Amino acid sequence: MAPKIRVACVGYTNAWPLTRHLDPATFDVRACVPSAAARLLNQGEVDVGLVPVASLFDKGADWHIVPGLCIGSDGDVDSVLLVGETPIEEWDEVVLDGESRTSVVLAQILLRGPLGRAQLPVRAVDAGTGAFHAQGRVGAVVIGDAARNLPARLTTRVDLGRVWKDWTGLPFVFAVWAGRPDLPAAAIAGLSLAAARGLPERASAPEADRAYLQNAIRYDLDDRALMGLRRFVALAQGAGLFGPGDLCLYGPSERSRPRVSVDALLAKAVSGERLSREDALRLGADASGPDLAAAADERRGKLLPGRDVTYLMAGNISLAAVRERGAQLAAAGAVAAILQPGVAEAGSLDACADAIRVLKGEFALSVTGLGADDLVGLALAAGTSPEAALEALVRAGLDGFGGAPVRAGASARPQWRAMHRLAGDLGLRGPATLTIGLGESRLARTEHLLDVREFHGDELAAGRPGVSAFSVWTGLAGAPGRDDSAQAWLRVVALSRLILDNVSHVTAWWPTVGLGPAQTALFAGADDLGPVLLDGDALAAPGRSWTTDPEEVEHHIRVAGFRAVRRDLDWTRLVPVVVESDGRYARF
Amino acid sequence: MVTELSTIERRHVDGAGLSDIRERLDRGERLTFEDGVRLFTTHDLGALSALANRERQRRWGDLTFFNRNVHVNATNVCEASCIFCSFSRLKTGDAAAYTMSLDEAVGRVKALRDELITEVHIVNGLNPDLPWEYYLDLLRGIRAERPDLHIKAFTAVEIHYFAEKYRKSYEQVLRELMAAGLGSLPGGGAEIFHPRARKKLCDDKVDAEGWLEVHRTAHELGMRSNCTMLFGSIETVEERVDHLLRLRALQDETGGFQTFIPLRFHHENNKLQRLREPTAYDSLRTYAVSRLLLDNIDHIKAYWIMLGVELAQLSLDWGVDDIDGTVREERIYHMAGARTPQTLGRAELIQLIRDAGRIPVERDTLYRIVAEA
Repeated sequence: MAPKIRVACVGYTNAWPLTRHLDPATFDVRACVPSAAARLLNQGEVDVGLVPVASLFDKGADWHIVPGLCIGSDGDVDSVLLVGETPIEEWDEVVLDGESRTSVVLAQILLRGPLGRAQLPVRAVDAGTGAFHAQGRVGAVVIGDAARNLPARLTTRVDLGRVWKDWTGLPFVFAVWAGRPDLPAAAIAGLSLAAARGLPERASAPEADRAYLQNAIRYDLDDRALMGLRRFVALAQGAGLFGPGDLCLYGPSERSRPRVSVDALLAKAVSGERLSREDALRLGADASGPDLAAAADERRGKLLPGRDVTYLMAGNISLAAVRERGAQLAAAGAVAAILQPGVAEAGSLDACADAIRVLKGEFALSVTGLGADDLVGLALAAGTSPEAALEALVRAGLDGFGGAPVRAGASARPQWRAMHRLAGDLGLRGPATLTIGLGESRLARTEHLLDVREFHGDELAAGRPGVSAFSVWTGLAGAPGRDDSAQAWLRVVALSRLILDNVSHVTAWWPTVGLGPAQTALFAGADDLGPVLLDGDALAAPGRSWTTDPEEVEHHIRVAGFRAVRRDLDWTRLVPVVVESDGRYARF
Repeated sequence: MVTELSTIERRHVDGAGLSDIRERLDRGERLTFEDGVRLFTTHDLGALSALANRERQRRWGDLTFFNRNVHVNATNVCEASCIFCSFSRLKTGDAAAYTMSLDEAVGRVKALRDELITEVHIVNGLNPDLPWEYYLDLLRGIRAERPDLHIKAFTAVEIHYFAEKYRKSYEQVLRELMAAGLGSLPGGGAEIFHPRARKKLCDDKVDAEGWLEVHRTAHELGMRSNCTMLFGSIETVEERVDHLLRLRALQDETGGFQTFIPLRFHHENNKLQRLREPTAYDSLRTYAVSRLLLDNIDHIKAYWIMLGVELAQLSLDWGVDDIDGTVREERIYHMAGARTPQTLGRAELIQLIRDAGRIPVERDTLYRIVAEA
């Protein structure tokens, strides 16, 4: 059973229509004065409370307002008054009863505005003692039930709801239901339900309260009430009586979505159950980054027990200086060369085939790489079909296909699918990718992952190899507003582990984010660091340099508590790296 | 503002074998030396993030502080022989050595006449060739030029050096500097307190007791200060925890520390080139454990200039709530090989924080809010 929602309620007469029908199965109710409700909320003692509007602007308050409900007025409110034994013009001080800060602020604004007593000194007194202090030339703000049972000596009684209405033409809002931003939807529904049951019962309230509850107090937080509320907040902020901040209502915004059902989706993903399209989109939009990372880490642990992290002794290669680079890679211990994206622009199909033959024949390197666009480009330039072009490359020895960076949505394009299917027909496979930070939405990122999952599933069903791994690249380092921060990248890495339930390996593609964030991704679903002998700027984000030292990569794996394992293109040959233990120092 | 662990975070923490530590944090209890060692050796970066971020959220929510300052390193001539420092044993006249004239040093501040900075940060080498008046005149000169700026200057190591060289007590040194314009002390020079590591790193520098005594004296004179730890060189996990707990103990006594700044070891151009630098993993766990152990220090600061932008962003999820400001001139880390750009503009820093999902707040040295960005 879900834990009960802890709710702070005001014991005032005007609150009971909202509170008396709170379902005890859902809510754990605590009664208090308005300022205490805010304090309990601030201290995390309760999840939601009926709080004075003023407390929404307390330092550190980050509460959302439950839509539709409030305690307000639209004219006389009867329970928020300025009182005194003498007329307001004769007062030389006014005391402010601390029981409701909203009323106190309202009084101050009205004294400066329509009541024309801007210079009147004010003094705070203990909650509930306002009427006692109102003597002689001292006036007082009194609120709540005390305001409705005043001693006869207090002949001046100015209704602040009325003054506000006459001044602004708008309703006034004294209190709202406010709670922590992640309040479950069930709680919001429960509050609305309680009001729906409680408000009709005003008709059978005791005679003394009936007119007050039915006519003076207004419980609708409708558009007019919101206008009044916003006007009041603006005036109070302008007068320096409220801190900065905006009003925030529970609604469809990302932060205020209930977290409960995301937990269920995360658990589903961890168990390995397939996420529906809706599930995936929901996680992609609503789950927090840390939650996604934690779930992806658990999923990876179930799928790939042990603490192995693989990487590939491989480097990129262009068609310029094939032998030189091939020799360099071989000398560095490479097992594979990756034809870097853009080879179609740099050379012909024949040059490409020659390069493959050289790399395999002279340096014993596996050769992979190319993307759909490269293949189409090579075929067009050679005046042949992509099928014939790819067959020629396979005859030359090409071992794998894919791994070129693509934009969100690319894997849904017919050409991408056709070329990868073609490669699959010839027994080739390779990684699928996504580049973030090119202006795509979060939705588009998740859709891309779903497209890859679907493609891979179709390929497997057709007896073709599909994709070998998935990696996320970042596009334009440092471009503002692209949502490609380290956090954004980690988020998509984690999502890919959770959504791509049919792909075994997630590569933390470090050249574009750096080895540090990539190391962090090993705790967010990634199990591989990909090729480590990369060179040149062709694959890096602009302005970024990176190490090409395999030992540095191994070091990053090992110190994070994993075992470094060298792999081949297909994860068929796995060689753990043995290093001397260096356990004495903390430095890692 | 989320201050509770989500279901999956809690499961993750408990799955990492940290449920007892989590429960004690749930109850607001203080962590022990053994807890610190366990947290450092847990090998679960996600669990550390969950626990440290909760403490961060409880204190500051999503607020992330930064300030705008100018760094002045008036001289790099230094008598000390710290093996991690690129300025080690530089003598006047050496090719890489420099000492600014007072006009030059004040000129650094003067040049930023139109910049909206709030602080001058001054740390120097231990220069045997300068008179005491040099430092007083430096403060006076800056104060005359920009009376609005807060001057945060001289590590405890420098204060100790001044006391010995000019034959004054810590209190005398600090009082004279305060009269000349000193506003607070930076946290440098703490390195690692434990005598084993300290002997290897910086044998001729003030010891732990001296460092702490300088800060105790400053706090008693009404100044605030920061504190640091140099991590990732030759210290053990136990020595890190020991260091943190010594700071916590002084803070219990005086309450004068504002911010703890873990400083990541850089290995170029110094005697520790053979050591690998700490990885992201080590940096992030150190931030997290610091946040969890230092329950009485308000802020944990990451120095973006040594981490790079991406790691600085990630650090905000591992307990960090402050990113060092728009640094105008910084020599120490760059001489040690830091490759990050020298400055980030205010707008870039704000964007960096926003992109990481946090709320940027510009502060002054004493954490008064200058502007909600």
